[in-house]
Amino acid sequence: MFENILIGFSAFADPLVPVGLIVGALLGYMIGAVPGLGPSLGVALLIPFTYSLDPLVSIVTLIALYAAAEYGGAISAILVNSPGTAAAVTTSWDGFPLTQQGKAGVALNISIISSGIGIFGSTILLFLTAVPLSEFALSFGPTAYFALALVGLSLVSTLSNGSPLKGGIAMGIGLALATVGLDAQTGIPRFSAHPEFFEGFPLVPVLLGLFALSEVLFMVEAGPSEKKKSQPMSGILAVPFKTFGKLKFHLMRSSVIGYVIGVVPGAGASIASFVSYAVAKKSSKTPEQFGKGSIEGIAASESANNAAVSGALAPLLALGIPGSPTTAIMIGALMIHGIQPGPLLFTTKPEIPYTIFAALWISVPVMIFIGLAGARYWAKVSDVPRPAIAAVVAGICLMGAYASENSMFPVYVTLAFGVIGYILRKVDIPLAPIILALVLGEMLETNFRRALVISNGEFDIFYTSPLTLILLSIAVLSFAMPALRFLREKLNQRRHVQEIYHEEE
Amino acid sequence: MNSSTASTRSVPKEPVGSHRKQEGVLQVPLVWLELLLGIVLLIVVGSYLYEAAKLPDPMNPKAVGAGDFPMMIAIGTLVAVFLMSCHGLVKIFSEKEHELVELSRPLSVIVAILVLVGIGAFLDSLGAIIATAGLSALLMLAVGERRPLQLIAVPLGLALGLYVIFVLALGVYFP
Repeated sequence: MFENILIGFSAFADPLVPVGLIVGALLGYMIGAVPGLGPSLGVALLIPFTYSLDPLVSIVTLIALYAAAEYGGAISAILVNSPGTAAAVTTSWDGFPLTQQGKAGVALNISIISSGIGIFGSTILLFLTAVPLSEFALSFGPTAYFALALVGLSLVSTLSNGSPLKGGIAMGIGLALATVGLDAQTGIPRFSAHPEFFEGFPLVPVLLGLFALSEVLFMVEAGPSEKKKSQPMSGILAVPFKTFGKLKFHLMRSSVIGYVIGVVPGAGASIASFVSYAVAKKSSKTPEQFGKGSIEGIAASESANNAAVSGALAPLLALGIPGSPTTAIMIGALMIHGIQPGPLLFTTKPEIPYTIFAALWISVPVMIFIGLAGARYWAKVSDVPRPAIAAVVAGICLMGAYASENSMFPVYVTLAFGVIGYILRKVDIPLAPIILALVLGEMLETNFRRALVISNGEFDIFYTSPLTLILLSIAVLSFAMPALRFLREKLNQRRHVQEIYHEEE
Repeated sequence: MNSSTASTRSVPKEPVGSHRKQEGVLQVPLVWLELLLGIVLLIVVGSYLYEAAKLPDPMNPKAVGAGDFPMMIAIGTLVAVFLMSCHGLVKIFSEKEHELVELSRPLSVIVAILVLVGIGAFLDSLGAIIATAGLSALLMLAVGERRPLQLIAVPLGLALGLYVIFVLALGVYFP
């Protein structure tokens, strides 16, 4: 294991790898700082630029962008009370009050260094858990893989924003899209009126359409942006080291919370930051300061949302199951380079996961430096006019789609999914389950069919193995829980209305 | 897209600006949109189910055929769409006030879609530089940009920038 980590660090001997890390970090900060853009969109937009790069350079660049976008989300949250990412909402609760008190520099310093500590600590957890998990997963059979994919899908569909029913519909759409093309087992073309569809829907154009082009249409709706007045920044380098000594328990606890929540498919960085913030407030000696400029609040939120980045990478690397939309997009990037994430990755191509670990560790000082030195400039990024951002995003989408196969078919796919994504978002249908189902669909179907061939068509194969049974129970529970919660809320509402009615009588 | 999980947003959060006031804002009850989408999905998923049912059976009668898994997906999705539509119908009849979805600057959105589809469809005949510059300029106009310098500089810079990165640096072939 430790020899492999040396392989990971040795990848940085190729000068293009550290260059990729720096470029990814710079782009990530920029994308994170612009409200409305985020890590998923950033990673999707960067993929077309990585087609012809070495796989290691591509992966390091994408990982650096993913992590830096979470760092960058805090900058506009602190300076202009406009979180760049959903995960930075809790940061704005204390960051912006500090800015109003003339302590913007302090808030930025705490947020950037806490983010770094969150990433560093959680990558240690990733290293310690992903490797044994991948070794354990080597013994998984088709039933366990089927159940695992189902757990991932059920959690993402039910933990997504809004109604679980809509999450289920999104999952159905994604699974249906995954079945288009030649059947992997029989070679029969399915739902493919044209030979272009024989290889199924190309993942990157679908991602660009759903995540990026639909956002362009939302930018058109929003109209030109109004310039926000940024507060003056001072004291960014004046935070004493002992401040972090006082915060060490908050930082450690938040990193663990962020990592654990990040591992759960569908939970993600925003839930991690909310939970960590709530726990920090509860355990603080000065809970009354939360919401008024508490540095504990900023540290808890930022270390947790960045730790969730490493958390989301654990199921991706060890099991081949994406834990978040961004990691689902990352799967697309890996597949373009012929890399299949999962337990075999650690034995067949150990340089990939170990370089990711090394990149996450090396990225910490790089990102802290870039963040602290360039905070003033990242704040200006959020002032870039919305029409220009829309033009850049749309241009990259179309050119990137064309470059993916050097043909017009992916361009048509991107355009179609851009409009579909816009309509679905208007009706509150979440996009994350569509992408995850599209990525996991083949794994789900192949293992389901393989298991039934092994069992000669008997379904008892799915409940004779304890591991499969446990995983399937989790899937059933995660599908059923939101429905039960919804029914309970409806009953409570009805009871409440009846009580009011009786009181009025 | 503001979220790392899902990215839904029925009502844009920004305050209504001057451009949105000028062009107006359409407000549609969410349940009506849900019903409309429900009908479209019932038709699409129904056709998917029909196509799946036509796929050949497997040689081994105990194996799962090419159409069996899609049929399961279709049935599950149809049930979910049907429940969403029923829930929408119940809401229409039982609630007096419905949650509204804002469709701001609808004309600009339609123009933007037409621009995207128009330029996207003719990307190969227009060529990468002209298509990117044209797309950017028209989209910026649709978003509300009216400053001539911005409308010239950004599309030109973007088209040249993308050309340099993709074609000269990464070696991608463009029409």
